Amino acid sequence: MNMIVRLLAGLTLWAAAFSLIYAMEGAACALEWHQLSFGPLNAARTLLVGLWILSLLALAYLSWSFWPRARMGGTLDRVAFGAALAGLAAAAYTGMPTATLSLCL
Amino acid sequence: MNALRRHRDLARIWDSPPGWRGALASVNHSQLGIRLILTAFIFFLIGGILAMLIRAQLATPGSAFAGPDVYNQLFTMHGSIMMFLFAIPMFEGFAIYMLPKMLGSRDFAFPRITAYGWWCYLFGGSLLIIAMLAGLAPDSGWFMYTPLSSKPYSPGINSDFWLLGITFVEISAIVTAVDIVVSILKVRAPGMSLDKMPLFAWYMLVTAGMMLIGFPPLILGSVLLELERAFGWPFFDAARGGDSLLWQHLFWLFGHPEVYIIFLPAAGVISTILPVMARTKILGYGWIVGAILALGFLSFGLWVHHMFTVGIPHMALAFFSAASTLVAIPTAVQIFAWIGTLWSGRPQLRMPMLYLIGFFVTFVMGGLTGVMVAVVPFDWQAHDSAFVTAHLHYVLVGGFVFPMFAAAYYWLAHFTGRQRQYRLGTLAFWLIFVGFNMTFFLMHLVGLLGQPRRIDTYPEGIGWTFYNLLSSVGSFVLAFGIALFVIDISLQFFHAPRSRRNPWRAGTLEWGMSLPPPSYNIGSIPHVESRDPLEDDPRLAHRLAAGKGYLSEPRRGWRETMAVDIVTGRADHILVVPGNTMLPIVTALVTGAFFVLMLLKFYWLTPLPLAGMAWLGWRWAAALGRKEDVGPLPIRGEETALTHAEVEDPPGWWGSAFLLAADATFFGALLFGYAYLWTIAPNWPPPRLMEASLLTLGLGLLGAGVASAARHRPAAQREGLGLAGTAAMLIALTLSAFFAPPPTEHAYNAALGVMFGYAGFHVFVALLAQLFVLRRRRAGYHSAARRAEPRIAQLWTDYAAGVTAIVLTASHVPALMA
Amino acid sequence: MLAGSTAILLLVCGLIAFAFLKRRPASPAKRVWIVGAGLVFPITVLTALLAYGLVIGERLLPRQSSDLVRVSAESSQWRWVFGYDGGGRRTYDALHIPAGRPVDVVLTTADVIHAFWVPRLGGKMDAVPGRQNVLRIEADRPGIYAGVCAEYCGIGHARHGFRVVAHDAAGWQAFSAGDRP
Ligand code: HEM
Ligand SMILES: [Cu+2]
Repeated sequence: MNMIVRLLAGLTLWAAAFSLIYAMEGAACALEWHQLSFGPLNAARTLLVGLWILSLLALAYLSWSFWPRARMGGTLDRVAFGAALAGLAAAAYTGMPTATLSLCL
Repeated sequence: MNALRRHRDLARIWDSPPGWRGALASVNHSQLGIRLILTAFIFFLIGGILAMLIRAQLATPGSAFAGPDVYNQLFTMHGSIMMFLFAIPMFEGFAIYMLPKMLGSRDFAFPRITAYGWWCYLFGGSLLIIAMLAGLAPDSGWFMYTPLSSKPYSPGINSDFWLLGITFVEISAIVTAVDIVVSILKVRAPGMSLDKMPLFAWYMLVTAGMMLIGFPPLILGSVLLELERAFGWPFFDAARGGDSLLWQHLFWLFGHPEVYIIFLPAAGVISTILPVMARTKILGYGWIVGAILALGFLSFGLWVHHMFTVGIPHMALAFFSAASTLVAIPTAVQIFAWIGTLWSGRPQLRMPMLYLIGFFVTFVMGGLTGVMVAVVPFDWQAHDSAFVTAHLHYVLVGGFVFPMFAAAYYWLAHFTGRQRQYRLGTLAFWLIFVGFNMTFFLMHLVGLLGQPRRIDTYPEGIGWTFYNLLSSVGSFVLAFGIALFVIDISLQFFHAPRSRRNPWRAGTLEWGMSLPPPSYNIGSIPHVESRDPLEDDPRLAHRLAAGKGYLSEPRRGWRETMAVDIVTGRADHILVVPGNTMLPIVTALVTGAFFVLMLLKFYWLTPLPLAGMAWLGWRWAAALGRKEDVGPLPIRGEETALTHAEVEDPPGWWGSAFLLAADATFFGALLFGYAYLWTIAPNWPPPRLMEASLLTLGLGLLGAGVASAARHRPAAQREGLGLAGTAAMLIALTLSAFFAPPPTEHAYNAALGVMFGYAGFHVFVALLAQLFVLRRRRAGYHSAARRAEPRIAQLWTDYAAGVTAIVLTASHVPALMA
Repeated sequence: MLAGSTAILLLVCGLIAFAFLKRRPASPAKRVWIVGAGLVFPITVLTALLAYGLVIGERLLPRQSSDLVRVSAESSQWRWVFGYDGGGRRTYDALHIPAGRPVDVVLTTADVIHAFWVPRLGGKMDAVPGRQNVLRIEADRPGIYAGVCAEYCGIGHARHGFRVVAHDAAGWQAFSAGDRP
């Protein structure tokens, strides 16, 4: 059972982060948080980029914690590690727009 | 016991009785798998005929062959039939037939569910065909966008046929997915650890998992739209706080994963056939498993790319554009693993391989145009044009139909016990391949020239005529090829010499049995040591028939097969599956009665079939179980194992858990809808909020807590507390619903209505489950060893408690704060 | 994009053909096939493509601009009503715009979802009940452009077209001044 959880962990985390960021983007635009700012920081942008970085940290930690088993264990341990890395890469790739594109246009 | 005796005894236990009664009552996976495949193929032919009519209409400008009203029914039915009644049931049927054989078991975990799934599919599909023959077919397109499909703009019964018929079929898909997941995880040959499973099982495991997550949003959408159409609950009506985009989100949340749900089983077929054709082993097993997992998840992050033009901010589009390009990577990993496999072996150009080459060329093109439309500005141009029609057929026909035709030739001997003899197939392939490309390649071009999709006609003199005419000619070449394919296959059925065992010299277990296989598949169950058991031991089939494996001695008339530990594949217990029964067909008929009454708008009669279903559900569970402990039984040599009735987590528990997972996605989608409407929809806030009350909220939460915490008590106390807690939840929900404003007034009210209804339904199910356990304990069905039933009932109770707590909080708290 | 796709398609076909033509099994190098061809190659291509697409996408967004013209388009089954100057003037099934200037079309619908698409002016946008969507278009030179409804909208969908008339500066002045076009 643990094996199954590990196989699914990385990508599930990506899915959660992806949905959360998308939902927050929708909410931020609907509630006009992009008009709000704290000093130099735009509220909506800070929220989105913050979530993105948090998700990257979580996935990086996860991948790192799977590494020892991947080195020693069998095929599925390596797959679990690979899936966590894939989650990390996917999060980096799909979250990039939070930092680079214009808000709510 | 010699092989012949064993065969006779097993056949007596597993065979279906002859005659129509036997056919109606059969729960055998091989029979049902073949029935699903045949039914799906018939729907494919019907969908194909509709496609021919579409192309006939579009062949010339200003054609008067079909008017717009007929044309709209044609393409709606073509799309819906191909997606819901052909593709999904086809691979389900294939998986139902093949998986137990590949996994070295004798049947699926829930044979009665397998049968129920097929009947529901047959009845639901027939409803749609009846609608079509009556000229009342749905006509709002296969994605049924609101408000076009809502009552004011589609007043007829057409859309109701779609919503109810498809939901009926989806119920079958969900229960079948549970069946598949549990069977793959639990019902395998001992020794087959997860990393020794044939790749096809991995593909089906992920596919079925995706179905559990992907289909509930569509079912929710259909329920909401039917509520709006039938009773005026305004979920999608912007004037009353609804939002037509909510439908699009729910639909595509299902609709995009759906495409991968269709592709993955076909990819599983390729990963199985291709190495055999190349006389080698697949390259990168672990990589492929990783790629399947990645596809399974990433494909849920694409749905908004169908909504690039609805006016969502560019940043949000960018998330989905990124995910849509990303999903090409695990696909590329698989494609290159396959090509690498071809390189490392000595590929032979046999019939299945020919179709696989057709797959490669077609699917890669579909993938490339897919990457193009994933780029937002390009999609702003190509969206909803004939370019997209071309793209989707390259993916679906290339990625599903070609591999399935390869599968047909590869496994034909399995179904018929005969070998291929006639050579019509090659000609059929070339007609199909050329005809297909001619039909659809041109559609890319005319799409870029500006031809929208779903138009019943177009004017002359704008340069579209030539492409459309050639495309229609191509489609008739294609149709001719398919007709030849049908003839070729039918000939093999009737007139070909018998095949020997394992004609392709493959390594997977499904070839380790006589052809066509007996109803029980294998005389005894092997101990699996590697990914290619037949390669390790080419005489395995004989040894199994001679009883050298597990469960070689039939006993007590039981249908026995082995259940294993999920990850390690260690022998865990003996699964005794139920035999033939009329319950599946009767339940499917009663389910169908509910849908038909809804269709005919006899709403006041619907409680009847619902009560019938509750009663049948009770019977369904009551048919199992035993009043005495049997303890460990021999399985092979000195080894013994318990039967599933005496273990902690029998497949039934897993089945409930996965069904609840699908249910939870449904609930999650409902909460998403509620939150979405609240933040995004126009015409909010509602005129008034519900009358919230701390008392009601407290009562409900208390009830939920008590019902769930009761598990730690001894049986009698647990039952009492459980019932008390459940009753409290029921009262709290009824009170809340009573003090909520009328649902037709605003989407807020309607959403609350559905949430209360959903929670109430589950509390009711929990109540039934608890009463069932109470009765069964008194009747002597439970003991210290036989303890699974209360555990399963507790699962349902906990779920109901969780749902009630969330629903009450989400409804009362915002109203209390305001 | 087209050339790149063709090249990739040919590459894949070539690789498959070679698998059949070669004499003996080539040694399977997982690293080359899966990591090289399956990961590195698509990641590179796709990242470049995505970045390119997003940059273009940003440029097409309806931002503020001094010579911007705003028109409205109300779609219904099966007609287009275009409004100018905040709705003061209306035209039916023909949209008038100045050539060479950015135009924001504000899209609404009176009934079901429709979509505004002028293939030669690029881009399309849906008209969704309860919302106002804005599509930025620009015609390079004066002329008449055919437009279609791109979202299926019922029986009249195929005939739910319209025209866009792009005027030169003088023509636009005349149109704005109220002359019948
Ligand atoms: C057998 C050959 C086939 C032909 C000649 C064909 C032809 C067509 C044509 C011409 C359309 C466009 C209708 C329009 O836009 O007005 C269409 C739509 C569609 N086809 Fe096919 N098709 C075939 C097979 C399939 C298969 C195998 C599938 C799925 C597995 C499929 C799924 C669809 C879908 C989903 C639509 C969109 C329907 C809609 O717009 O609502 N088709 N087909
Ligand atoms: Cu329209």
